[in-house]
Amino acid sequence: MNLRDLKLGNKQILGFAVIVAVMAAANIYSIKKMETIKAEIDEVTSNWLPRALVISDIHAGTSALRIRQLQHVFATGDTAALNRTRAMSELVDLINDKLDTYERLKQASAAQDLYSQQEGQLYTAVDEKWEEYQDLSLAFFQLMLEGEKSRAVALLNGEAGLVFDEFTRKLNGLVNVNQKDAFDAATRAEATFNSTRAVVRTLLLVTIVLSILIVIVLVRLVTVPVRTLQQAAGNVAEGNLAVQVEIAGKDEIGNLAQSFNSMTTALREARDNTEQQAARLKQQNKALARTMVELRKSQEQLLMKEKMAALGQLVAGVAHEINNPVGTITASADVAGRCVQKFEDFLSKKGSSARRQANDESTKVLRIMRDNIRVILAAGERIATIVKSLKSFARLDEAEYQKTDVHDGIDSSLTLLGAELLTRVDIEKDYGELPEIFCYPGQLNQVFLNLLTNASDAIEHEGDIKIRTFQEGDNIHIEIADTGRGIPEEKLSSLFDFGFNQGGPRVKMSSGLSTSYTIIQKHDGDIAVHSEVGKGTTFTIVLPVK
Amino acid sequence: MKRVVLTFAFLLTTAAFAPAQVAVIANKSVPVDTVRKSKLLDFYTGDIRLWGNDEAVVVVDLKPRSDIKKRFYRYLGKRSSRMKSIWLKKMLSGEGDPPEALKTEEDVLHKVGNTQGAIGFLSASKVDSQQVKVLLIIPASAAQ
Repeated sequence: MNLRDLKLGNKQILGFAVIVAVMAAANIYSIKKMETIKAEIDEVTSNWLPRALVISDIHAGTSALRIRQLQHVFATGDTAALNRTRAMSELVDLINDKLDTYERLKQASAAQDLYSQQEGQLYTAVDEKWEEYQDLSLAFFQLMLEGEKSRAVALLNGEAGLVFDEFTRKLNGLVNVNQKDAFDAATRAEATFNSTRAVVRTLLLVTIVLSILIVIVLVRLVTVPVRTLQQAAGNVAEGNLAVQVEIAGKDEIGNLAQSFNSMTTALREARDNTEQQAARLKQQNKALARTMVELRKSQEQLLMKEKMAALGQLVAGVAHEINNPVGTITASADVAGRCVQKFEDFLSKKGSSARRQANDESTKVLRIMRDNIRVILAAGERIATIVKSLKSFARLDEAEYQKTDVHDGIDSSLTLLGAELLTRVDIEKDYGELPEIFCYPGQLNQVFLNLLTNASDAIEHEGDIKIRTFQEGDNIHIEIADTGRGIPEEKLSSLFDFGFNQGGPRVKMSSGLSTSYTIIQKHDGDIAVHSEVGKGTTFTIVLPVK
Repeated sequence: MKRVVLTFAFLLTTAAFAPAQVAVIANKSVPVDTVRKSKLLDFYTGDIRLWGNDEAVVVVDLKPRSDIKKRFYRYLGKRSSRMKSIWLKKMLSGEGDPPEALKTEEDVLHKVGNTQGAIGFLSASKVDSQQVKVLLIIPASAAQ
């Protein structure tokens, strides 16, 4: 397990665990050592020190006893003697108490192996001397009771004095041994304390150094990679996407670095993709623009062709319309010529009967000629009307954008559609009160002609075309409804698209509705269609009055 | 008869074991044949001064610092120096004199044998049952 691969939290826990372990070890060690020191101090305080005190008490007690004994020699009066003997008795009790205490302490210390043989030997000697002194004391008191005062004093000062001195010397020896042992124990305790203090100091120093090292390592493990990441992020922010972070390890920062690298790679790829796509898009745009130009050109050409076709159709219609009256005029001219021939024949005839007959004939011929002239006039009028309509339709002689009555345009278109339409279709006009509107009349007429042609085409045999106009608010409405075959619903949405082809027996005006739509749009108007298959179609044009 | 057997056995054991046993002996006039430890201590501290027959108790001590003496007092739970203190106090308070301390075990045997109500101690090997009666044998082990 690599240290680098640990999670950040675990790294910290590990670091602090090491610190805590070292500190705990130091503490446990010092506590143990303190216990040792305590034991060594206890040795002194509970062994040698109490014994030393007891020995000191024994010393004081025995000295006091001996002084009392010396005083006893010179005792006068029974009361004083009695007091002294009681005091001495109490001193003996005290000394015995102390000796008992010493014995107890001795046994307790011996159980802990803290009682030296030397001290034991000295104590035995002390005890023996004490017994000896007590023997002598008994003898002394015996002599005193017997009234042998001088012998008693001699005993006390002589033999008893020597024994007491010996006793005191032994007691001092005991004190010295005790002091020496106590001093040794204290020295041991101090040595242990000093060594422990040194070890604890060292451990403390080690702990501090270790803590600092661990903190430094932890900080390096965290901050150095973070700083690297920060710099890398800064580079990315400045647009340098080629940045890769070299951070090993599987901790959070290692993962972060991997994610960061993946991110920059992804960003780089995304940017490259975007650039490529932008370039491609630019090319496509260029191509599209070219196509658009070409398309517009071909559309214009198509429109032109359409116009030409419409014009041709119109011209054909107009020629047909004009042909009738012209034929009438031609026929009438022929009749007129023959009438003129008749008159020349009349004029060359001689004789009255012949003249009379000629007169009657000429009256007849004149009537024919008069009729003929009426026919010619009518035909001429008809031609004039057609020409006028044509003019009105094309508005060739007028300004393009002007105030116009749309009814005139509708009527001219109807006229141009002519007899072919009127023979099988009933035209019903429902014109409302319309103000004149500013428009391009020639273009609007084209729309009307388109819609009317469409309507008549939609009616296969016989039917009605109803033209209704009315004003609503600031708009005028023009409805052209037929009772034709209708337009299927799925084709309605693409009805005004360029190149629409209704199909059926006559394929024409493929671009008519599209052109109409464009023209109405140009007039800020709208064109809508409502159709039911088998029932008919209604186109509604809405134009603003302005 | 019992005494003879006791003494015989006593002599045998004495011969068998190195540390001498301590025998508590009394004048034949004393009204008891055995003595318990506490009673013995009471005799030696001077707390009991009379036998059951109102005869005075005469306590005999051994003077030299001998092994027998040490063992005897240790059996009583008192070191000899402590016994001296007790006697010293009795003397100072006028309650009585310390026991007479004799120089040899033979002196003890003789003194006990010839004194009415006397009680003492000596090595078991030195007992003469013709002169005294044995009240108690302190085993060597118990004296340790």
